[in-house]
Amino acid sequence: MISWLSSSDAGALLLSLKLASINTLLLLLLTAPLAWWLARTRCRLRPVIEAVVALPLILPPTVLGFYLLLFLGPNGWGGQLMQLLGGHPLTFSFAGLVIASMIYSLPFAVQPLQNAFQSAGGRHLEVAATLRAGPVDRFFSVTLPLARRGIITGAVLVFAHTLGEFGVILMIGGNIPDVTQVASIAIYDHVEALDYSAAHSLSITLVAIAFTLLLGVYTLNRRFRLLGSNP
Amino acid sequence: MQPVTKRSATGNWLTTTLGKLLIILLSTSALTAVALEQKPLRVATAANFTATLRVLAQHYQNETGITVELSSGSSGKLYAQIVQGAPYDVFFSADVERPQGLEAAGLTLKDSRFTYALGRLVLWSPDKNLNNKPPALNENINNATSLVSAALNKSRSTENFRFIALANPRHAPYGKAAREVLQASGDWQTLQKNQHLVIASNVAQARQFTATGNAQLGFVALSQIMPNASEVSLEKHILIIPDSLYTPIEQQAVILKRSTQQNNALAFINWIKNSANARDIIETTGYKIPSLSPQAKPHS
Repeated sequence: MISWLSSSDAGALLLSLKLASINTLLLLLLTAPLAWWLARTRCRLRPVIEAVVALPLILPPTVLGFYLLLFLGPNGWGGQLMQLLGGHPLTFSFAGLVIASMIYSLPFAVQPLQNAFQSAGGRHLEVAATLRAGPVDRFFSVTLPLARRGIITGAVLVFAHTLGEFGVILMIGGNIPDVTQVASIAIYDHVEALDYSAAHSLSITLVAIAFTLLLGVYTLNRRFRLLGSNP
Repeated sequence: MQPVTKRSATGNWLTTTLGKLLIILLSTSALTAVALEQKPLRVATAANFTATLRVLAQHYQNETGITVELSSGSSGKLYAQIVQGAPYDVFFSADVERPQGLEAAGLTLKDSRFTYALGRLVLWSPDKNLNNKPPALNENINNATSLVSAALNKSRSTENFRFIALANPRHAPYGKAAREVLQASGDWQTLQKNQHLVIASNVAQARQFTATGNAQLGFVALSQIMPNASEVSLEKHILIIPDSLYTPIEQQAVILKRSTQQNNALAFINWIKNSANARDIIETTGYKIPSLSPQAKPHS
C-alpha cells in the first residue's frame, strides 16, 4: 500500500473510512428513535416529517454544501451558535464534515430503519407482551432481531454513501490534509492536476476496500440468517 | 405562322419572367440558407474570464454581427472535454499548460496559441481594513513582502482570524501565485503548520469561502472583485499583490483544429489582440494586457 499510494493518499483514504464509520454509527443510533416513531405513529404530521427526511435527496450535493457553508459559517445560525457556546464555526473541520454527512445521508438511514421497524412489529410484539416481556426486553429480543436486515441495509447504504460523498465535502471541507481531505477530494485533485495514474490508484484502492467491506457484511448477514433465529 | 410566333413570343416572355422570378427566389432562399448556416462561434472559457468575455462578445457582435456563444467551466474540465472531442472553436484557458497540451496533441490550429491576459492576484478581506496603499508597480521585493506580512499580521492579531483561503496551488494558477507570495514573505510554513490554509478547488471557490466569511482572508483574482468594488473597498479591503512576487499568471487561448469556422475564429482572436476597445475591456475588468508575445503572429 505504501508503494502503491502516497502517504497523503493513504491518509485521505483512512480519513474517508473514519468519516464513513463515525457517520454510520451516529446516524443509526440517532435516527433509530425517529424511525421507530415514524413506523408506529398515527400522527397526522407523519407525511410532513417523512418528506423532510427525504429532502437531502432533492438538492444537488454542491447546493446542499453551499447552504451548509452559509449555515455553519461564522455568519450563519449554526456558526453563531457554536461561537456562543465558546467554540469555532464548524466549516473546514472534521466535526463539520460529520454533521454535513449526517444530513446528506439522513434518508439512507431513516427509510430502511422505518421499513424494518414497520415489518418487525405487530403480532410478534403482542405475543411477547403476553409472555410478560417488558418494553425494553421486547425491543432487544424481538424487534431488533427481526429488524436486523433493515438495520444492516441502512448501515451499508450510509457507509457507502459517505465514502462516495464529494460535492458537500468539496463545498465545506477546505481540503486540509488529515482533517478534511478525504479520498474523493484527493482523487478530484489528482484529476484536476492531470495526474491520472495517482487518481486511478486511489480510486481502485477505495473501490476495492469498500467492496471487501460490503462483501463481508453481506456474507455475515447471510450466514447469520442461515444459522440464526429468524422465523 | 405569325400567331404561332406571337404565341411563342408571349411564351418566351412568360418563361423568362418566370425564370427570373425563379432565379430571384432561389438566390434569396440560398442567401437565407447561407445566413442560417452562419453558426455562432462556440467559445469555451475558463470560469474566471467568463464575465469579461461576455462583455467582449457583446461588443464583437455589435461590431461584426457575429454571435459568440460561451461555455464556461474550469480549464481542466474544458481541456478534458476538448480532448474527448467537444465541439468548440476557440478555447480560452486560465493557464498556459493546457493550451500547450492541446497544441502538443495536435488539436490546435498552428500558431494560434497566444496570451490574451495576465491575471492579477489580490489579498482580500471583505470586512477588515488591510490598510493598503496601492504599491507601485515595480516596488522592490523587500517592501512588497513586508506589505503582505503586515496585512497578514494585522489580520492575524484580530481575535477571530482562523483561515486564509487560496485556490489549490497544485493545479490552479492563482493558487500557485498565492503560494509563491506566501513563500516569499516567509509565512507559508507557519500558516500551513497551524492549519490556517483552506485550499479551494479553484479561485472562484476561494472567493466564495472568503465572501461567506468562512475564511477571513482570501487570495483571489482582481477580476473577481472589480465588478462590485467601490473605491473605498479597493483602497481598504484589497491588497493588490505586486507583480514582482509571483510568476505572471498567463492566460492563453487557442483555436481548435476541428473548428469548422477557423477564419471566423481567427477574426475574433485578432480583434481581441488588436482592437483598442477589446484591450480596454480586458484591462478595466481586472487583468493586464500582455505586451505582444512571440506566439501572437496572426495565421493567414
